[in-house]
Amino acid sequence: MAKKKLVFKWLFYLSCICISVNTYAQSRTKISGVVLDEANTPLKGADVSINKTGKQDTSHLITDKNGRFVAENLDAEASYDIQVKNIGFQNFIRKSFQVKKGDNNSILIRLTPGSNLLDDVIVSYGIQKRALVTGSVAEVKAGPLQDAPVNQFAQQLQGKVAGVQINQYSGQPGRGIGFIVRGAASFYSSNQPLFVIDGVPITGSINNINPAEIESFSFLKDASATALYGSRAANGVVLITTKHAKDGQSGLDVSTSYALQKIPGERLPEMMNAKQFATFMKQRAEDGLKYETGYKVSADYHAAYDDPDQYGAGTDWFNLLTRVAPMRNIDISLKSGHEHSSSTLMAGYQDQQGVIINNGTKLFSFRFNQDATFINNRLKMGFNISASYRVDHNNRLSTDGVNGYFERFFEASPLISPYNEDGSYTRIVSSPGMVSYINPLATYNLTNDDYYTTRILGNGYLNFEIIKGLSIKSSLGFDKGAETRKYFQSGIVTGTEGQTTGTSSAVDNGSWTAEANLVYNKNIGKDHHIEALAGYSAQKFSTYSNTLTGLGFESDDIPYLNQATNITGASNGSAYSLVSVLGRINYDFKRKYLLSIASRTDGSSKFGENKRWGDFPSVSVGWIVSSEKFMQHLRPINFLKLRASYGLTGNNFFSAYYAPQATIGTFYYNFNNQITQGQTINNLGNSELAWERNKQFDLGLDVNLLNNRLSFTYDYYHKITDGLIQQRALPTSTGFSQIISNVGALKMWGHEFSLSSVNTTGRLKWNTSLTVSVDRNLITNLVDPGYIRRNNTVSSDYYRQQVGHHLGEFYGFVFEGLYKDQQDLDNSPKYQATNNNPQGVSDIGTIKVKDINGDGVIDDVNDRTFIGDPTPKFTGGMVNSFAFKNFDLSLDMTYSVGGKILNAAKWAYQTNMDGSRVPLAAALDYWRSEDDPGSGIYPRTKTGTTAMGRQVNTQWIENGSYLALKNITLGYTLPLRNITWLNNLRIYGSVQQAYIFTGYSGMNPEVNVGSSDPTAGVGIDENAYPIPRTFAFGITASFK
Amino acid sequence: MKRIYNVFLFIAIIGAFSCKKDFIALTPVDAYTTNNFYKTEQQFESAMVAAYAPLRDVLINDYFTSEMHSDNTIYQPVGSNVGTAYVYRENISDFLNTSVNSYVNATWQHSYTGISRCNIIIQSLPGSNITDSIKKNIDGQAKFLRALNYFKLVRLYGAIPLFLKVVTTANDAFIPRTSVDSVYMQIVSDAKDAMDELAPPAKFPQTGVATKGAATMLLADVYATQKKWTEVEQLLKTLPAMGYDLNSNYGDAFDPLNKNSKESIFEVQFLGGDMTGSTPNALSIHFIPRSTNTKLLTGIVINNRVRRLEYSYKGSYFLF
Repeated sequence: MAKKKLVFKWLFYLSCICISVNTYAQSRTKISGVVLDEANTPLKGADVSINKTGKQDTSHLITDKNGRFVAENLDAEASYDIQVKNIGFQNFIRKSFQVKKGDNNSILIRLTPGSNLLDDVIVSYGIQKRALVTGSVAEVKAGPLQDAPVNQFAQQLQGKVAGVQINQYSGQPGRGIGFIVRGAASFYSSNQPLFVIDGVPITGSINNINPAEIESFSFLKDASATALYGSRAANGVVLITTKHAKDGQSGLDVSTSYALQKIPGERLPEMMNAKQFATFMKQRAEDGLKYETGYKVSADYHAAYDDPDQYGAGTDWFNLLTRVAPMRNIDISLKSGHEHSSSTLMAGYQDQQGVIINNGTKLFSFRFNQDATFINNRLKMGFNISASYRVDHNNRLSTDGVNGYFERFFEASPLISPYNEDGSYTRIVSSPGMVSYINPLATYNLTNDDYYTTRILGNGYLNFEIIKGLSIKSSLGFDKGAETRKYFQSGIVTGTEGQTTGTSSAVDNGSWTAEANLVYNKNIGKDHHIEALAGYSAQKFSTYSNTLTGLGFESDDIPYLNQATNITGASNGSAYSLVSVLGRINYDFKRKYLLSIASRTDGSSKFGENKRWGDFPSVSVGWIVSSEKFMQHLRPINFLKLRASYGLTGNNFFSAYYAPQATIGTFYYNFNNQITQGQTINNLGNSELAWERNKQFDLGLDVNLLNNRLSFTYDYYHKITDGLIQQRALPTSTGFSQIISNVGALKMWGHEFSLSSVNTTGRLKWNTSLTVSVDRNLITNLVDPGYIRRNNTVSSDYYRQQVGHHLGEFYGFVFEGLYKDQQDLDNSPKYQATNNNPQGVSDIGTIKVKDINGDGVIDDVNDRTFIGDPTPKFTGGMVNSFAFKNFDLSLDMTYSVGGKILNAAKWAYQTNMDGSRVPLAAALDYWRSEDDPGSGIYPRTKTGTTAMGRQVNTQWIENGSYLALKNITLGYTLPLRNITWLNNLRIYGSVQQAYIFTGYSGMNPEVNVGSSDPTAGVGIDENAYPIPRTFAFGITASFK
Repeated sequence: MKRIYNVFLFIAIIGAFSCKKDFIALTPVDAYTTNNFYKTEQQFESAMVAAYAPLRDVLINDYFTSEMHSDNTIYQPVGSNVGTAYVYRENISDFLNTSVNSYVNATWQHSYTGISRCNIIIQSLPGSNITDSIKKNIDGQAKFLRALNYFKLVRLYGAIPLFLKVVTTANDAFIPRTSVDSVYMQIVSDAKDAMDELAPPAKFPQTGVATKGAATMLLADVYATQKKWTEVEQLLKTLPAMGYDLNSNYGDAFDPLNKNSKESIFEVQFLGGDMTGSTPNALSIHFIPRSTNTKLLTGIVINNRVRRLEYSYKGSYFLF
């Protein structure tokens, strides 16, 4: 029997695969076709109807598990109308398909996702039909994203979800990207959303998750959608579902790509070369001697700069330190999906070399998902387990920020060679007059900083239907991580010369999560539908770490601590736990009026003794207006739903797990002339310390128009986050200076628009999806004195968080040009002028700033003000995807409009006129005299006057609007002729970070010194690892 | 049926994991916090040591806060240095010091740091399982130090916030000032408790730990301030019986060899050296005379005693 079946199968494949040419009768022929979704996955069970054009003679077919169908017994030389229907997709219609005699009557049908109203959406603790969802939930299928040559899923999601900002602030391989859901911000806690993978809230990083393992993402944005995650939900929740083979989905999928990454040349700052720099330095000294009494020029300065013509371009540090870097990727997945059992085995390998020399990252990943059902589907059990191993090589070096290594690429002197005559590295690469720089090339080559990270993530679950409608679902999950660091830096490049340093450290951490829920479904009569959930959950995380640092190495030859003569170290451990009860009732009347009430009560070890327990309730309602009778005649509106929700959530993501408890410190006294050690409280705890509370209101609208070709979602949200944790100053009569307290408050509100449209459905298919996010915030309360400075400088105090202002508003002087002449100088306020020194440190040709308080003098305290708002007016993305015959093309764009960027990278360092760093080539056009005032941008070099240029002023502020062509992918699905073992073969070319349209002069308009934390700065460019443009070529194949 | 059994077993396992009462009451495993400290005798002894430590800072800052006002010392302006600290010291001497003066602040702060460290001991002792005699001794020392600090504060600042418990929430921290009379009542009560609980010095030279003698002297000092002379006399007369006596020369009190001697009731302990935990007294350098020869001397001039004070040290000779 089995053999017969096999033979039949064999014959079947031979005769009719995709494009077959079988004409078994003169006048009779057949059409064979394959139905795929957008990600080229075969669709099983699609309804295909073939109807002779103009006749009522329809034959219905259903696609098999490979998405194939064969319509036989058709008239040759006739034309047929082909229609394909599948739930969740637009109906496909091909009129007048000409059936030829003795030719290839084959058709490749790619369905466009359509009305997704009947789709299951993954929501917190369950799934729901999209039409019935009352919270703000945005789902993204991972399939169409997977051509992008990136190794973090966050990169794929940029601009895809309204209200979710994902910025790549740094290009460090495998790192440098973060999420901000609805403007989430916190001064003390993390603002990153909670990630839940296959139902398990993870406690480790998301970096080690291979994007190829992911099936879909659900972004839970409002309080109703997130409420069941209680004290961890305030920053939004991202539910990630990994791939599980569906019934009939069996086979082997292989996808591989090779890419080359290159730093986009057009955005690089143009620095002075050796000759230009020597000219600048020479002129500087000439001006000094001309204008300044007692100005001295040292002999080595003369020797270096007096003859600029002796130099050419000099050392190009940037070229030496960067490269075109390869990136490789292979993913294999083995699926076996049957009615009662599903196994998915996935293995992946990624290797991304950095565009800066000697760094990169590799990831080996493995996942096994197994599900099985028993007892007539009443019992379902399974497990998901994934293991990954990452090797990070030098990609966590401090490339970014002030004094980061990347800054050195531009600052090091072009007059100096990286090598001594004997071929060894030069240590200091500064010319006379410059500050001392350690050779960045040597730093990169003589530093080895490796991290080896093992991660095991998994869960086992068991669902049992006790009686009809009542099920118990239980799950036990774990998230285990171990990371070992091996660091060694040669004494040639250590801060203290010759201090070769080695570090060995290790972290072992992990959490387990146990949950048990009862779910009850009940229909009362025809119209009342109730789903109730009650659950219990517990989670515990613990970590152990140690670090050893070795000094006193005899040589640099052996990078192991056993060669060190002086080793110091420490070890630490900590833990936190969470125990919760939760419940939800979803009720609907006639599938028209929807109500959902949910609540979670969390007990957390992180909170004060008196605040350990918190309740996080929410309520939401929905009204499917389109189901009302009065809407029935409004044909163009296929679906219309109004939603509203309100609820409380919390943020307990602090890294200080024992913040409510006072810490014990060591103090010394002496008795009997003996040193005596004592211990007592050194920092107060706060037994009232609670979660940061988030009250959120959401109003939403979902509408489908024009035969579901246009679907639109709008959300308005308004959030008040209060109880933000801050160190509150105390009267010293308590014996202490501060106590950690819930004091700050922020208000956030915004509008989110998502539109997806099916523009054309014929031979050329064109779909567009567009998101627009308008996110606003206001600081409404802070600890005394009502503002937080970034620091106590004037040069890097970039922003001020102040009550009544938006997060991260820039703070500084207002630039008013250069003092033109003596008259201008006499009539204008001067910087740091005093009675004894009425000119202060200003002079003709130096920077003039506005006298904000009008007292006739410029000073650091009274003449700085808010000078720019980094908050964009709106942000978002647009994806256009096209398919024509076997070709597919997608254009993926993101944009941001109206935000300002503070270009500190340029103005603090690259326009420094005092000769300590190599300036921009453009700065050669600086002020030298009234007759030679230059471009009016760059001031004179007079000693003691250049500081203003390095102090935050409006000159630094630029418009940060951009349109980024994030990804272009062109794919071609090969017509497979008589290949029995291959289902699908597609090749594609892809360009990531293709082009950025922006007026911004820096390298990356997404950059931010505070990464994805708006309380640590927004839109501040302080240099970061460049984000490469990546050209990739890939193949995906699916074998039977 | 067996499968159903497994379901319940599974749930039971989960339950067992998570039903512990103290599941969310975690304390650090790698450090002490209030939740796992103040339990053993050794920990209380240790906390006691820490309560003595601020005395040194009180003394050094009080020297400026109080003595700069007196006619014992005077500043000599250093024209080239008008740093804030110099200005603050001059302001004290000129009676121009305000609440922003760092010396005034420091005296306040260090006294209260000492008080809070005593409060945590006094508050935690009753709940501990330490033998009563040791409990008494520790409580006595803590009350002596608390009374000493409050006595300093009430004389310098008048009505002050009276903290008798350690702060655990922000609300605890903001309390109004207590009247001078009530503060004195607390000081007297603490000093009396200390007198009852502490023993006289076991030997001379003493170790530096507070004794019954120290508490007696403190209470006498308080009563003297309140002009309760009868009580003062009664108290002071008990001191010789505890072994105290005067040295033969006035100047002997300043001889390092006589540290913690029989003439000494209670001394703040300093210990020179550069080892971790050594506690040298920085006050002495403030008295180094001004000199242009920085090779010989540091040249730091902060506070100069006046001639009259110098002459009052009969029998001692100074080189300037």
